[in-house]
Amino acid sequence: MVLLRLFLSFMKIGFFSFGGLTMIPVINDEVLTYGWMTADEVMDIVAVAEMTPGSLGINCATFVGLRTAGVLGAVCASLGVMTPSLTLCMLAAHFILKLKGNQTMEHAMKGVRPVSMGMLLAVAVTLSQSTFWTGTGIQWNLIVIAAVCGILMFKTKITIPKTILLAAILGLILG
Amino acid sequence: MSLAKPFLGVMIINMSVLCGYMMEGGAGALAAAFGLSAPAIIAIAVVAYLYGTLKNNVYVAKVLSGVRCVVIPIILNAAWKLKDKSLTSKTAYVFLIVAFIICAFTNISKPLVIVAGALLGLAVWRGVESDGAA
Repeated sequence: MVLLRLFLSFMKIGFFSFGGLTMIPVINDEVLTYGWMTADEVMDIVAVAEMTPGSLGINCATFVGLRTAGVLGAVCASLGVMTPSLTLCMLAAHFILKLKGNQTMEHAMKGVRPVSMGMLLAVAVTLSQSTFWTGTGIQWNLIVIAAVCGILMFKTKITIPKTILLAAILGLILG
Repeated sequence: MSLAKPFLGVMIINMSVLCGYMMEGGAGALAAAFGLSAPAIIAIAVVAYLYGTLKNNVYVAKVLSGVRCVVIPIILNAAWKLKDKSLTSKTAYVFLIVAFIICAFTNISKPLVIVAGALLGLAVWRGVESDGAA
């Protein structure tokens, strides 16, 4: 039941991420485990998701679903990734005043935030391995691209879509 | 906005769900979530189709190899932005390092790591505040 599996996997992704890029570690695990995408494709979709409108979660869900099981797959995966938001948030809207400034939630998040940060750093390391190391040796040209874009991103206010465009041009020249 | 942020899931969807719910109840929430996602889904469908057909073209492959590289700085940048909000104490650094080691060197499932982080956070910071030393 690939449709059900897509739905459940992306529901898991939705439950355990806080929007934006903190989703990457969980997405990476899920799609690699089921062989839905390769590590390279995960990176492509992250770049694509950064450049297209809409959230990373929905974009990934649609992309993976579409490629695994066609339009129905895309629908199932997207519904899956939205389910946590829909259910939890409707509950929250219901108890809106009780949850505002809830201490327990804040304490839990104090633990979750540094953990997400650690997970992001870890996934950056894992993805670096698959990108810069290709069995035969280190891909120095790709490291140069990453370094140039990285420095620009940290030192200037360049937007992410522009950085991706730059990386694409550099890739065409050096890749 | 401040309500949407702490909840799990996609933040922008959380926001639309909250707005939809407040205005029209459950159906409003569903409609808001779908309305928000529809353009993204259509855009990605087009991209996925093009990706499938163009991926093996030599020039496209070169462009993609460059684009993949930039994903790593993007991730690092995202982690860096979390720094101010997440690393508020020494204990938080311990959480960060332990989570990094677990995720980089073991296959322990990520959701489990997050749940553990939440429970430990609850245990640690609740204790801190009841001791009166924050």
